[in-house]
Amino acid sequence: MSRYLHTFCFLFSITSIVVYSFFDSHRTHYYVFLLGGYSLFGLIVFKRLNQLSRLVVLNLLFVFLSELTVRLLIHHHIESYPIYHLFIPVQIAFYGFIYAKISSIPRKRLFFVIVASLMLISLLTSIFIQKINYLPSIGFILLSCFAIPLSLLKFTEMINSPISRKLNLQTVFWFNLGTFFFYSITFFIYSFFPFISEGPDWVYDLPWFANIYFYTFYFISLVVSLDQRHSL
Amino acid sequence: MNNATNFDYLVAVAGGTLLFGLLTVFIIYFILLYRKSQTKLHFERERRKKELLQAEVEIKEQTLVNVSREIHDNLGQAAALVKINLSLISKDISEADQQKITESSELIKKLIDDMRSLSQSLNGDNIKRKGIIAMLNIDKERINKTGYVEVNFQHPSKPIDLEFDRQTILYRILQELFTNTLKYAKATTIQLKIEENDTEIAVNYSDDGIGFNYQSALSKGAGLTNIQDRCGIIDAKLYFESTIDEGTQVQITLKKRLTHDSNSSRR
Repeated sequence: MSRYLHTFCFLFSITSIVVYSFFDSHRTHYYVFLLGGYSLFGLIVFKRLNQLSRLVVLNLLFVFLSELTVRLLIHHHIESYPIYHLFIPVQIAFYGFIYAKISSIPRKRLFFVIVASLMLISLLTSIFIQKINYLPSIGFILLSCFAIPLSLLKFTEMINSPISRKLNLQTVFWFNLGTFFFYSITFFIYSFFPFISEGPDWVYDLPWFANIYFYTFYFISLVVSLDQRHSL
Repeated sequence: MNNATNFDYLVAVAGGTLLFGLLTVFIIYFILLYRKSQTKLHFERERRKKELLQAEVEIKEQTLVNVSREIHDNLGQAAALVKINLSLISKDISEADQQKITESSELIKKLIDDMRSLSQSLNGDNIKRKGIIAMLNIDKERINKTGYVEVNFQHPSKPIDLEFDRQTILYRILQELFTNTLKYAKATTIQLKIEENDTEIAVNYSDDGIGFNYQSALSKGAGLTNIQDRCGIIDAKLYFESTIDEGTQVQITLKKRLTHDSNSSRR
């Protein structure tokens, strides 16, 4: 299936630009539609995927359901931020588990203690600092601070232990690239939000672009995984 | 927009641009580094493969030397004794039987010659003593004697300037080519030419046989793969050209002195 990737990437980019430029009010629908599509694809090919990709599918499904719930809550004028407060500890657990699988992390027990501590900190932040009716920007910064070093660690490992397969046909590369790319932008946006919030309108569109590219990178990792089922 | 907003606007744009710039640079840098590591891995694998092949060739060569000695020392001696015995018997028997004994003696003599020739050809140590040119001349005589194929061999007048290990492997490659022609090509002539200049040795081998499809032959048998692998070991460039019903041409070129960056290329 990897041979259709170029065509897909081209069509995806064109569609995204068209949606961004001409269908302003449908951007969110497009994002949720993409998430749903990627999740559905993942579920269809689930049995043919390797372990990493199966976890990615489960995560995509979780994100899709979270975003869908958020949109439904907004539609019914109900506060949607609590969903994100729940979303962050789950994502910390997901990245902790997945990087423990794909990276050679020494002292795994200590690593899982750190993961559990970060989950606890994010929950405590939601209770005491940024309550559940506010956007959990601190939680997102925490998640970024966790995901970025892990992706960098994996990149370093990949350089130290390369394999002969082309880089663009490696599941881990696309997964890691998506994580690194998205959380770098997330970290930037939430860390400098007071400055950025005063910036041009398109700054607010950055998370939208970051999100659709992030999950598209994950989707590509699934497609690539179909051709290399027996390895991570 | 007031002044404060303009500044914030600038910060947002500059920060965003810097972030995307850094991300792009990082990804490009990573891809370049990864490719470099992959190239290193590739060369390391090639080196290990070459070492493995070298060891395999050495083992095969040692086996051939042992077989050659066995033929020369044991089988050759036994055949010589049979010949002596036959010559002793021939004095006490009838004329008709004597005729048979004489024919048998002739056959034994031919057998001893063939065994000696085969023993020489198998023994890699002979290449050290006589050089590849002399050994190929022995093979040429042996093949020409069969009467099936005529080998024309052109070569420099003096021994070629190449390490003995590489000469041995080159010799085995040419033996494999001879074998392939004799077994499959249905050829009537083989042209073999060895040329040497200051830096390179070029071997041109051709036959007028039925030719073959290179790719399918490569997948079917180990002969061509052996030739390719051996060329890799001695850092020789191998060029194969075969046309159905028009014969086969093989060109092998190799540098006299190995350099670190020399690699074999194959088709």
